[in-house]
Amino acid sequence: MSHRFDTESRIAVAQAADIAREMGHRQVGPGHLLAGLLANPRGKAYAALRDHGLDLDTTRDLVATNHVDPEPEPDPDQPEHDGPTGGYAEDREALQSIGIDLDRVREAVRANLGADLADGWADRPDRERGRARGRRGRRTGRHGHHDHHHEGRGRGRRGPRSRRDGLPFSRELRSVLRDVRRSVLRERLETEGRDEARRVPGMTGGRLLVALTRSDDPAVQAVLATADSLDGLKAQAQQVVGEDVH
Amino acid sequence: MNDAADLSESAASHDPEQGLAAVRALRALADRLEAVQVRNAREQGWSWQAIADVLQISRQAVHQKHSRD
Repeated sequence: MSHRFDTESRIAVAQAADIAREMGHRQVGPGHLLAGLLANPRGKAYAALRDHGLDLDTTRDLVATNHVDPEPEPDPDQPEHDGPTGGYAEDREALQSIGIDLDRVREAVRANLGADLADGWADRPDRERGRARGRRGRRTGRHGHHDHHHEGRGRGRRGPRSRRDGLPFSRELRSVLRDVRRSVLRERLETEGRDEARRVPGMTGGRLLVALTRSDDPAVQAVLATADSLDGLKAQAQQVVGEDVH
Repeated sequence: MNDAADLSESAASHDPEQGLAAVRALRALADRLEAVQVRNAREQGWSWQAIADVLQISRQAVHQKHSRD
């Protein structure tokens, strides 16, 4: 992914993570990203935000008080490793993108079968079926090595960590980033010619700003409420994106 | 955030991150549904063989995967 972030957006995300950490938050949210854009005076998004009366200090204060960290849900299975819901929230979003409402499926299963799909979500030792079978097949002696740590094999194998080195991104922030990717994709599809389409810029400061102005994250809302003119800011953000494109 | 526009953009997404995440999520969903449905079938007295027939995998495979549940 990161190769499609331009310098401004990369700096903004890094700053956002620092800001979230400084505030003692457990997740990086859209509010931190907005502050991250304001922390880089060389950025185009910075100019647009300043033009509309926003400054870093005020923004930080607003984000500090309005950012909402999710309640920690202890996962008895994987207390440390895999986040509160073991990838369930992430998969729910991915499924939503192809038209499957995971919560509705879960609800139906709960209602009809009395089981919770989210329990042990993505906990799938059987994904190693092939290996397990091979191991069994080869074992002919009856009392092999009983004490081998077979139990440990299935764990910690939930695919690549989605966690960055630092704090995880909040659901709202991931939704903002998805919004950007979607806009990029749409523009590329609408652009005639393969080479031209490829030149449509990906993740930029301007695009992040446009997506942030559309976010209903409470911290972002609190900050945007202090802008001189929200419509003016939106228009200018859109203009920044337009300049990058052409 | 949903419907036709989204489907065309995401399900067959040209963006690997999105497309692959959807595949992974579908697998996770299938795995969990299988576990729940197999347990239900067993509770209703289905044999491992009957379950295996419907799932179109071997009886041994079903048993190995789910007998501990």
